[in-house]
Amino acid sequence: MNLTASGLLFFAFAVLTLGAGTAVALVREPVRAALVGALCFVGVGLLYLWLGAEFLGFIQWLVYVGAVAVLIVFVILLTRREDAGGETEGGRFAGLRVLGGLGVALALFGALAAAVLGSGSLYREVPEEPMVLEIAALGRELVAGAVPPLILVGVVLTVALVGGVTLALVERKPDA
Amino acid sequence: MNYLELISHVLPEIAVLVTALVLIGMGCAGGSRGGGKAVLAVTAAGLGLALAAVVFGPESGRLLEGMIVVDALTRLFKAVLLALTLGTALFLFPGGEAGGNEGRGAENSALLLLALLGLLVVVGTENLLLLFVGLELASLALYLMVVFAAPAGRPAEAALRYFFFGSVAAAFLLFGFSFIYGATGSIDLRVIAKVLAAHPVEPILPLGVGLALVGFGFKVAAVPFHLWAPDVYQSAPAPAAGFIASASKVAGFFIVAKVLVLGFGVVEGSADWGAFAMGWAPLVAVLAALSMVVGNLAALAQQSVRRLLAYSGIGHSGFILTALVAANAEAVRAVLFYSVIYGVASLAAFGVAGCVLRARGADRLEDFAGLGRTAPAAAGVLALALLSLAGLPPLVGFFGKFQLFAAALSGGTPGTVPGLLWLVALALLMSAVSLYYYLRVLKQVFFAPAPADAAPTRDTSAGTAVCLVCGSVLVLLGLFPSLVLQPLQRALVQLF
Amino acid sequence: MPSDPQAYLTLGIFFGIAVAAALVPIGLSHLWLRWFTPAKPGPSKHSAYECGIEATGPARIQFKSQYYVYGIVFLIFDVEAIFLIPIAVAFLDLPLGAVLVAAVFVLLLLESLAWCWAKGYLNWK
Repeated sequence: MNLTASGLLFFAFAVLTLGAGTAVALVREPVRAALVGALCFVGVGLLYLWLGAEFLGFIQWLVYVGAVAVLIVFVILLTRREDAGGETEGGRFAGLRVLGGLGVALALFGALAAAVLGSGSLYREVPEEPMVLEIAALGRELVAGAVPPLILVGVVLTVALVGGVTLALVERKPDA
Repeated sequence: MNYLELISHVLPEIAVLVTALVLIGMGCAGGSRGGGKAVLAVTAAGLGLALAAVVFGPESGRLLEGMIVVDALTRLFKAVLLALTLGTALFLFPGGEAGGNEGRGAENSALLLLALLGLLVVVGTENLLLLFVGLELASLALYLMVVFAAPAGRPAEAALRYFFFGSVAAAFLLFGFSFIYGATGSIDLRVIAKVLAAHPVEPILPLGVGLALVGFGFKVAAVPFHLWAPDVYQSAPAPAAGFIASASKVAGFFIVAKVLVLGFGVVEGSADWGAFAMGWAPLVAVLAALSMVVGNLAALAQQSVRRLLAYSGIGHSGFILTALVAANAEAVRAVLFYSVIYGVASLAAFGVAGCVLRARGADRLEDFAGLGRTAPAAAGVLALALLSLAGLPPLVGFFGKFQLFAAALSGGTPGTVPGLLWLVALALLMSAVSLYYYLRVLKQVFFAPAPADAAPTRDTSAGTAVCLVCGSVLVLLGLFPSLVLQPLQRALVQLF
Repeated sequence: MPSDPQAYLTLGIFFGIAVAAALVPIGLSHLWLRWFTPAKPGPSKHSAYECGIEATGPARIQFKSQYYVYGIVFLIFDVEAIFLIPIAVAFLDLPLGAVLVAAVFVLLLLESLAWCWAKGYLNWK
């Protein structure tokens, strides 16, 4: 693999990710936005693979494309049409809101770009051998050095399950 | 890596977690109808065990790259958090359960304990990864506590707002941490401090610290990241609001002070008048100034007492951050001391607001009319809490505020005009403003006649007891502040 | 770049075949439509075929919120799988304490599942 082919791949994945991400914000139909969002997640996964972070890439697909996107589609299907309320656009300060959002986004992007360009990491030597993360090493670390976060993540998931399920069934509660 | 050593250092957390799991199990058994007393007993027993584990546990230790840190300071604050949570738990069970959460008492209590677990972890760590996970756990449990009490209407809206702001703030925090890791190569605060002292600052580091400040600003409800607070304080059930205003804020200030001073003391910069230097101090100074002005001025216009308390809380975030700008040992002591007494006063104020709400169905200023005659104990505690928040002597609030401002003025070269004088002058002005709206509430309580049809405020003995304990703590600490200051001072000596 | 780009080539070819297997028949039928079947729209042409019945009401209906519960449970266990996969890969080298940690992690999640089950939230109503 020479550099140009690799670079082309990167740009293809980046265009896919950014294009899909922009489309999420611009598409009017929520279901389509959710599906384009899934495409965006696919693109992020491809970028991880391109970087050599294989485990992360496949996890991105498994969790975000496989579960989060599906859950978002569920939410859209479960929302009553009349609840959604047609008047999402407009309002008195529509222009101001768009300007404000763009302003914050541009400021953040400017700060990020300035910091990254200024840090000189662009011109650093790329290591010849890519760093490969061995999954078994990750597993050993999870149950040795990272025990507190691992258990705490388990607790977070417990809270999420208990809370999410209770909230999802809150309407059914009176007649149950 | 020794698992037994690890377990011995996190016994308080384990006690809280196991209690929460037991409560979830009790929720399954469905025994919460009429089993409110059992739930309360289990909760109190768990908290007592955890407190014992804090007191009798190991005195110091630092495990796994700073993930678990036990020293005098963390033990002191774990004890404070446990005590505040015990108070909240006693509020959670007012005689008849407040509308909407029938049958979920056990889950509610479990969520309270899991939020506490998150805060305990946050307080007891110097590792950015664990800090983030702990904050997330606490936030997630708090979102649910806000929404659990009532299934529809405003609490749901407030919880949603809290959730959205919280998620974005968490994203900023994580984004900031990732830049900090990229710039320093570590997530251990002590290592970060060493790296920063030894190497020139990478340009992405200020960005990381700035983004993390957004997340912290949300946690302590500092302007402009405060928009969730008034709605949440007003709509959440009073105990949940009390917990958010007390324990959650204490932990928030603790960790902000620790991260900024311990990890990033080198890149502090300066917010001194005429000597601005880039760093986190100018940013914190701006947050402090905005919070004081917006919080205190907006509080003037409030009719709902809980909303008023929310805005006053935003203003107090400003006061506390004012001292943090100075970033020396004295400032950290003042910040930690004031956050504790603010937590106690808030808990008491929300407790009384909660019992007025139950008795009269609303918490507008008029609803507090004549409270001094119908419920003298509650009115007295409310007066103590509000006057302490306003900073009147001889209550502890005066002493705490005095320390805050003295610490802010202590920085800089001696003999010259203190650089932070502008911020302290603003703080004094806003303190005076705050006195006005606190007195507005107290005027209703003591001088307005009670409405003829006023239902008598009756409260459980537990709730009253907690209020009374909070009130007496405020008086006692006002007379003998060294009761907390001395252990705090000893603990801080170890840190610096 | 990944450590072994060749491995992805095989995957890519498989993926291409899978996409083609879905798209080619559709494309062919469109071509067929264009060249051999003239469009003749009309009421009888658009009516339900043979013994079908006319559709009534909007196609968008509200789904039961029960689906969502299963979605959440699935998501939670999906996330748990992320942490279990590396542990499973390293499982044979782990000391006893580490295995106990992994067991605690799984049991935490099992408790919430048991809670869901005991509360009857998983029963289809």
